[in-house]
Amino acid sequence: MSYFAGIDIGSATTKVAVIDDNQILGYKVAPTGVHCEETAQQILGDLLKQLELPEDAVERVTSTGYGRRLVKFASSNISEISANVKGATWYGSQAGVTVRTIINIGGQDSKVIALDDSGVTKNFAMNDKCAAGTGRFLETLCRIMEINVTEMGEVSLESTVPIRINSTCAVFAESEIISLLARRKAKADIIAGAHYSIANRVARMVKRIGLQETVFFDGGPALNCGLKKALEDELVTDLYVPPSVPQVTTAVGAALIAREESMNDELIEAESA
Amino acid sequence: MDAQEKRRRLANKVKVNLAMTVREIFDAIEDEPSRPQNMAYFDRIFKTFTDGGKGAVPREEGRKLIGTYCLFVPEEIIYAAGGQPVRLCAGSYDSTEVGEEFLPDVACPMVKSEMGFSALPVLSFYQDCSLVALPASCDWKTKMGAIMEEHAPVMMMDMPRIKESEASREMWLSEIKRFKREVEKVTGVKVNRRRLREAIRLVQRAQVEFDRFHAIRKADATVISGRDALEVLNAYFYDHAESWTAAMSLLNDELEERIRNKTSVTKPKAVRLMLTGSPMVFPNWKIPTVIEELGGALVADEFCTSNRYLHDKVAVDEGSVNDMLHAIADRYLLPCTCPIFSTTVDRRDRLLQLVEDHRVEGVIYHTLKGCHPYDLETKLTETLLRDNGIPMLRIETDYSPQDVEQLRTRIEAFMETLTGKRRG
Repeated sequence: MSYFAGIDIGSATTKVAVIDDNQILGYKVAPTGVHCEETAQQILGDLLKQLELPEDAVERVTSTGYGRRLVKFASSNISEISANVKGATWYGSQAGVTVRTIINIGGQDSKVIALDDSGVTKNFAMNDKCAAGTGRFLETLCRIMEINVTEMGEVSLESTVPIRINSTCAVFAESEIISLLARRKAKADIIAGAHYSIANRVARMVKRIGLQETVFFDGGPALNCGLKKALEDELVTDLYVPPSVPQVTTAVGAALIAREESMNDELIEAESA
Repeated sequence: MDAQEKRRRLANKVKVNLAMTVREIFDAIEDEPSRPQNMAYFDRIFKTFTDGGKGAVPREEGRKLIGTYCLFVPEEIIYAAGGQPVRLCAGSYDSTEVGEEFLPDVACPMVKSEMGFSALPVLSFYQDCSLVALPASCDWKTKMGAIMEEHAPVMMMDMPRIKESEASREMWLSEIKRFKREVEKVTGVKVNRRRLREAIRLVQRAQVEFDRFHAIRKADATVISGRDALEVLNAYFYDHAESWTAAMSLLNDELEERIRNKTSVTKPKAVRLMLTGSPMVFPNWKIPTVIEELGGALVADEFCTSNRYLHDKVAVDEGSVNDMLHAIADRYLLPCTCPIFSTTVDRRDRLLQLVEDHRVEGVIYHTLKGCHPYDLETKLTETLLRDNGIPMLRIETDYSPQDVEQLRTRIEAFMETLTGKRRG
């Protein structure tokens, strides 16, 4: 049995996934911190221990994410677009879903990826210039409202009429939200409003790229059922969120690529032998 | 997703966004310090837009809903035939996106918005109409009928453009008579002399209250905000004339009391402004809101959706149905200052009268993008007002909330010019 690992170094969190020849064995998420390579090493080690695998069990590591080139122990690195596509299409095929569009909302960026009929990237749009429409915005909200990120979704679903958040910048939105709280507006309505605000921004990116069903939704915020609902309302389509932790789809994709590359290497060796 | 499901979801999207827009407006209104108590009756009508417009239009058992556009369709005839009129002119940005599927980009936002509401079930009174009377007033309205036919029972009404001739008068009268026959078919009630006379009086009673309101706004003290003035007339689109009249009467009593107490919603010596041009329908209140946030007093308007709506009276000469129909036809055509007509004289006179009666210091000329009739009269109006010493600010915009800050800057600068002019 061979083991492969994918490491997704995001700006906020690092995700590690370990797979074997047949299935996903496990994954782990932790804050990236300042020293990416050390963090990646640490998380991988912890995960292997958890899986009761030896330290050197992993045959090949592929890294992705903004810090991918800093992971010296990775055999290869790949863009997060490709890794995300790999992971999403894999999850899709497992579920019998044809993925044609991917919406990824990360800690500090958000992307929309359009795939052609053979599952290859044909276009993508990214918002990496500002925090509006990203996980960071939601975290800020939670901090101000003193609720847990995991509670946001459920709370927002209680809203009957969301409050529109007008600020397009996450920093100004913070002031706007504080003022709403001061005027005793319901938290559910404010959170729902924030969700629609993000959905609106994502919808504009989707419009540039073109929406084709089925739309796959991943990244940490995909766990937020309220955000999912807002996106579904604005995009007028159902979103598919993988049943496992959607935050690790890209890391899984990187691990799958590591496995593929390993198989290719074997083939090449076999041919030249 | 099948087409039916997609349609339902799209309607839901518009509904959610419209609800947020309406909520935003009324949340802000809550914070206003000196609003007349009796505005609550009118607020209720618009708050129903967060929930499909349920309860906005009175739906008495069996009453047929007759939709209208513009201010050319005689409500007297609808009431006389036992129907309930509802004016369908729309002001929602959220439904314009849907309308854009049917209309060219350059179409005015109002027709896009109306088209959106007609094509998707968001506000129920659009779908509940048994007949929709659509006057071929401007180019957009003329063509909108054919596009809308699939979604609503449209009856086009032909309109003269040169109203001064006897031929025009007769043509319009025959259209009114045709309208009457169609409404009778829908409601199953014949418009006889008694019913028509009563209906004319019903609308006249509403007009009496409007006249009081109009006079109240001439006072020195701005006892009601311009936005609220737009609101109460906009409410007449939906409400039954009888209940509207009763509510207006209470509001007018309260406002007359305010005049006596000198209770003003603006600071003393606030700059007195008038709005004219393409109409502003709820929830498109961004401009009156900005004006009043800047401390301006919006004392008058010349909108077909507001100040002009109940202005002109039916002058009944003789008591027969035919004579009453003549009077009704004339009332809805001859004094109308809509720029779709070739003449500009009536509008010119009305604008000057309003400026004088309400001691207006500056006029804001509002054109919706794609609204050619109003656009065509901009220069004429600017010259007319300048010749009478009244500065004018031109604003061209649509329903999008994106340009509010630019508008704020321009209106603020305009108001500063007017204040400067006083000192000079």
